[in-house]
Amino acid sequence: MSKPCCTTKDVLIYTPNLIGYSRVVASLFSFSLMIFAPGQWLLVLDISSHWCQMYSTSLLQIHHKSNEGNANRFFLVRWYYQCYPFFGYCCVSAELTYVTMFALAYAKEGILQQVASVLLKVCIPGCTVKQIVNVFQLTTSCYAVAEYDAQMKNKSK
Amino acid sequence: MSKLYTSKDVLFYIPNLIGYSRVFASLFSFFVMIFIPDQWLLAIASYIYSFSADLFDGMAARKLNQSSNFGGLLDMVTDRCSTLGLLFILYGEYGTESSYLNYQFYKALFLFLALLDISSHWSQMYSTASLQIHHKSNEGNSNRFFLVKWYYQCYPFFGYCCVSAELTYVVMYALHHLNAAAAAAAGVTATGDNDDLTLAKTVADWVLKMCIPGCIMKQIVNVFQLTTSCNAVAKDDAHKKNKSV
Repeated sequence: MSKPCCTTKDVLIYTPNLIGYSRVVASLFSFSLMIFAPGQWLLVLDISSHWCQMYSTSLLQIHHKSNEGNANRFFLVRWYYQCYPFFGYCCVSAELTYVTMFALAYAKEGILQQVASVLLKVCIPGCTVKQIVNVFQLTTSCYAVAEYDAQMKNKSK
Repeated sequence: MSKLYTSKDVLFYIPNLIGYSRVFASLFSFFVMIFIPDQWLLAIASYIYSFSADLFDGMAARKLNQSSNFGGLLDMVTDRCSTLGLLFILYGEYGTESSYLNYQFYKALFLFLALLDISSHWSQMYSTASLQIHHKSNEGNSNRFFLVKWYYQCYPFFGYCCVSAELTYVVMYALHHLNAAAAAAAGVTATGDNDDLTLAKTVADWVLKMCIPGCIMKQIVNVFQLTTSCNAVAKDDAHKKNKSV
């Protein structure tokens, strides 16, 4: 006898979706902390996301920039890899955000301060997008490694 | 029919659950260090838990047959981010202008330690993942500098170096707060309290002196790891280029 029809509520409480909700909570929590201790969180996110990405592509021998890999991804991540100017804007903005913040710590007035302020406003959106992409990279690469582990385990049986 | 494993199974392996508790404990310790600096002892306890649990997740993986690449990755990233986070905090605490600290020296020191840690471990991990050889294998190590050989062949020495490096940073964090507490308490509290503080400072100083040699040796090994892994990757590149010609 088959199980009664699956309702929407069933789907909403699938375990992977519960995990997804905890991810949302964790992201929001981390963004709130970032307002108060941004330097440390940006550092941890940068290192962990790039490290996992590098490790997963080395181990799995696939390139994260390949188009097939990106077809089903979140739109921001797809744009990031498929549109080179957008990719360039995000990467350069992230670096320039840090550089202009450094400049603004020392330049309190004058033309340098004005230029740096404007530049900072232009770059912050790109920096934010890059951090969002980093979060996705971190989660999808960890998942890919775990998937690879499962496949290896199945093969060895 | 035998069970078909999915990535979710791997993500929930017990050693990986231990790994997540390590991540949480590290992040919690940084939260306390930044927002509740008075509770610095709690921060240290949490950090030390995170660091010690590294031993347990490896043991659990072997005992329960739940070793995984993901677990190794989780371990490595947690280690790197924890160390980096603590060095970041130390930079902030020691790197401020004051009458008794050469703050620029400390800024340079913590920055250097962070850069060396990341670059050496990154290159090492990349070279072993893409070249598919293990850097801890004996054949790989026979021609190495003696410190590096000892590091990989003698487990107690390896343990001493790794633990010392972490403890050096933890004790430096503790000493900064103990010194601040001593300065604040000078002449204000009863002699009994000062004795406790003096004892704690003495113990901390003593632990620091025991750990600094191990920390230095770990940094030396890091330099060797960085250079040899970069060399190995370049060699592999040349090898591939020769094959394709």
